Amino acid sequence: MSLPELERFVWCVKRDPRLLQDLLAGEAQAFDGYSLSSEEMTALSTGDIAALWTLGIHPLLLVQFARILGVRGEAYYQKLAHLKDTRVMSSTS
Amino acid sequence: MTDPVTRSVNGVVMAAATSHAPHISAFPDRAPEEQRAAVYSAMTRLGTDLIAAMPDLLVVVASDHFTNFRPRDVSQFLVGTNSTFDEIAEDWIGVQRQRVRGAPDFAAALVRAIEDVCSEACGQDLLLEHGVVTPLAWLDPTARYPLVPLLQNCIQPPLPSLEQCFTIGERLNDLAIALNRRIAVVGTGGLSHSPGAPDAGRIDQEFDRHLLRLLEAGDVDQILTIPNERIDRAGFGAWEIRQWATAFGAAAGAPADIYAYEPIPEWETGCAVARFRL
Repeated sequence: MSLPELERFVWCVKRDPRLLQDLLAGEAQAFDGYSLSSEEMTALSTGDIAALWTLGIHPLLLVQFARILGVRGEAYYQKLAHLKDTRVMSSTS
Repeated sequence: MTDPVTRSVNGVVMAAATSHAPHISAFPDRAPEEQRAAVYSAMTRLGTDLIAAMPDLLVVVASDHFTNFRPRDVSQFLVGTNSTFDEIAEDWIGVQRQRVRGAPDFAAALVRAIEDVCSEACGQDLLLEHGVVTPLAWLDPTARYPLVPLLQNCIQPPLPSLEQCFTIGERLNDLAIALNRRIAVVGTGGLSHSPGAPDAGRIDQEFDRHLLRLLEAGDVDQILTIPNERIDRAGFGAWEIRQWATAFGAAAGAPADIYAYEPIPEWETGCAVARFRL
């Protein structure tokens, strides 16, 4: 698992339309230059919001990534509804 | 012509704080009518206060949501040194793009003035997002005042402490006096919320109301020692009360008048608006 790389990838997707295009087209080259596990790559390429949450991605990056994929509002939160209280956000670690 | 007596005092001439949830501008109809009206009325009142205070420039202290801060960024404070701000990062927040003048000289001086408070402060061109522009849609809808955005890291530990933020506010006043400028300082963010998390609609009213009571009392010691664990329980969006601490510092710890507090799950935020009595 490589959470920093996962978050770096999502941050880059927000800013790089070409990278987003490659991701949406299922191009394996989208992940070139990122040290991601197969689990992370699968979650990204399938837009698995719940899996990305469980992998530990920052909620702001997750909701922004979902928005890019067209998953917004109630549809977004429905995907996370069963995951309440599964992570604690700590301001000190 | 401006009254020379009224204009004679430099430094912080107005200090205030407000929530900045993008829902406030993006989804007005989602909030119950009375609550929406209370928040909009309070923010409009701040805009009226701003005009009456006659500032030379406006410092908006906000957090950032991975627009200017990168993941694992070590920066704690980013100061916008832009000559103009022409773009908004988000196209869905219901705020019209408009050209806003910057104040690069003041911004560059601000970086130097806070470097000893936190070494991880830097000045750079910034892209505006809802943390700045949503409140400004009510506070300064015609972009009357030059803008200096000060972005504080409220998204990834280690975060600046509440005490550091309060000191940054004090430095804003010192700098404005040194440069013979009249500035308004508006901190934005909070109160309790958890945007993007499974419990996003949960609002910790006990936390919010306790903080507002302390602000009304101007209780510097109690506010600056709120335990991190307590803030965490109010949701990671509550980390943004650092902006309230900065505005509080800019007001030298003066008590606040609370213009509104509305817990609005539909906006995913405990929405508060306050002005400090200078």
